[in-house]
Amino acid sequence: MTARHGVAEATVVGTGVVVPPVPLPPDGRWFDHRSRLGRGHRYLPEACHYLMAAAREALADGAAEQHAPERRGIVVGTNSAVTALHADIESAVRDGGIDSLSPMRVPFFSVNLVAAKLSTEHGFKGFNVTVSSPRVAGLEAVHLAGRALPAGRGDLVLAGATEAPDPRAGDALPESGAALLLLRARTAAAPGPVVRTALRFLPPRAAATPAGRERAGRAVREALDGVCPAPPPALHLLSDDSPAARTAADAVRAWCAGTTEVTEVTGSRRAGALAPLELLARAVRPDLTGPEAVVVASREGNLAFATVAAR
Amino acid sequence: MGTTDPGVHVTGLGAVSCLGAGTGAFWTGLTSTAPRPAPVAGLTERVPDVLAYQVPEGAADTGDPYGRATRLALHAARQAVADAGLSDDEIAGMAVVLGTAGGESGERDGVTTPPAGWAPVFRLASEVGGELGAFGTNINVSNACAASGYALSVAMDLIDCGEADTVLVGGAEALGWAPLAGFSRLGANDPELCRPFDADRRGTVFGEGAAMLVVRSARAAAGRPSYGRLSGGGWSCDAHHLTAPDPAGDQPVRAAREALREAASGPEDIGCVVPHGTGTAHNDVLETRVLREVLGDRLERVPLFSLKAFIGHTAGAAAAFAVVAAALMARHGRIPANIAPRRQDPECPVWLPREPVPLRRRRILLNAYAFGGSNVSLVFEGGTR
Repeated sequence: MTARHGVAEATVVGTGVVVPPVPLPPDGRWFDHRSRLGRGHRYLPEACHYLMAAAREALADGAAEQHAPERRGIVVGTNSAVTALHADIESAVRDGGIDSLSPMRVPFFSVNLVAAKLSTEHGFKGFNVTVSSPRVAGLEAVHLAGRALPAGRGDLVLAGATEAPDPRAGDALPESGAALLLLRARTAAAPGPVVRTALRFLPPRAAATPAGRERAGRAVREALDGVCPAPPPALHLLSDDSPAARTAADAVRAWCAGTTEVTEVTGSRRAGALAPLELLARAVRPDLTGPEAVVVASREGNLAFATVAAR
Repeated sequence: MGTTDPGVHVTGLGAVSCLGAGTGAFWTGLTSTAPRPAPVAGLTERVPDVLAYQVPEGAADTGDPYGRATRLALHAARQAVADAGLSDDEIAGMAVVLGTAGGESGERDGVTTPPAGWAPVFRLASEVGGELGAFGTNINVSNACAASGYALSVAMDLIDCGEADTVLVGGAEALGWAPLAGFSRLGANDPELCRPFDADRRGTVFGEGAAMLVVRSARAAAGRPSYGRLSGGGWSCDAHHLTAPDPAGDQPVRAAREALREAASGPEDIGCVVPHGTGTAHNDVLETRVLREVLGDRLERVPLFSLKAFIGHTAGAAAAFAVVAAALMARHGRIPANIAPRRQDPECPVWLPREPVPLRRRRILLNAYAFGGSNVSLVFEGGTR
């Protein structure tokens, strides 16, 4: 069911969040794949471990078993899930020694294998899609899931994000962990909170022109009007100091003025797409009533808007 | 077919490959040449079995300050937008959906001093949308060798649900060390040629390039020339093994049947198949069995066009190249001669015409499969231009 232009909707029936604790343990080690996943997963990339653990959480109530394997799908967003492996391969090539690379690990140069592992583990045969737009890929995944369900491509979709530190994160904050939503098509009869998403784009150069900023403002207002069934009491804003992100963030603040408290997420300049999914998944609580909103504005121009609200 | 027909209309094409830049060079290459792969500078010296079908030097130099994959994508994108005759307003409202397996991972190869800022590997759709000034929904799909097939299907969904009227969609791939060296480590590189369905095939050979299309809703395409329609798409996942296809083949069969169902077509309507056909031992045999299951006793009578024998395996761009080839076949009314296998695998009894043959039915079935058992099939239905 799509109620508004450019807005995708779905009902949330489960969540899984696996992220580092705050504060981190003194040795920095917070996830042990042997204790979380059991034996036989040593060769998998870090991001795959996190994703598998999050999926087990989201599927813990056995909801998947109610649907045929061909009716279950997966959409995962990531920016940096396999960049460490790419760096290992690059280094081995430079040193002239690809024989040192494990044939069990090498296939994960293909970033979609991280999500594909979930299909083999849980028998999700409907589809398995990986998306990767900078900083918004997690919400992008939820958006595509919200499109795939009403299009009849499946009845149940795991959608979310997973990340592992990009060794070349530069001045951005590396991310670790995974967050997933388990989604069904929104229908009048379906119980559970509703997630709504919209994607927009602001060509970075347009942020330098009055006409571009005006168009961006319209796009932001339209997206927020679309995903917010009512003005949210609070909105989490993840942006950065780039002209494109600043332009979009200004438009978000203007839309919120007087009705919605904007929480600027600290450390927003991240080398990944996990943080907004973590916020969204954590908003799915038994006491959820009014909408909780998350907005991402990236220097690359990708904008993503999401709310979760009681139905 | 006129552009008042419902569905998703293809109104512009662009291509950059080892055959050159532009759809004219692409078609000429498909009808007159048999390219060969070449060593990859900086890599083959270290990993000797790596070859690739490469874009000729200078063919796609745009001067844009981006990585190679984005430069290739931009070249093809500008061709497609010009071919579609889009106005500035239409470009500004356009969505962009791009498939890529490796993104700009190749930009990190051999670079020991990284930049101060974070350069995300997967940023092709963002950079193409940014450069063209497209404000529409912008999505980067990374389903390995099926990426642009999923991108095309997502673009169809965006149009069907009303999220976009016009979508620039396709795929782009530059050569990166990770996939090429990775395939070498897995023993999956053919040291001579990309030769799908050949009994002597030993793996695949990658190719670089970009293929882009402008697709539009019937309303947006009204009164504009159209190559035809994307009329069906089907998705599935083997959920079997990370790199090997499920020998049962039931999931690629399901994807193809779903695409045919959505296109309101049956096997008897298919005039050509552009297979995934990579040259790897198991995939070609399995795809033959899949096609036997889908096409039934028509298998030996439906011509296949084995595109990767011309341009190599362009990975995330492969399905978009297949649709561009299909649109050009529909426009010219004929299927080019295949590069004939020296010895066709008896386990792959598909029809690979060795001379050009007329396209007798307008619908063309296209398959794309990927690591992770990710399958997508599409139906393209030719029109008149």
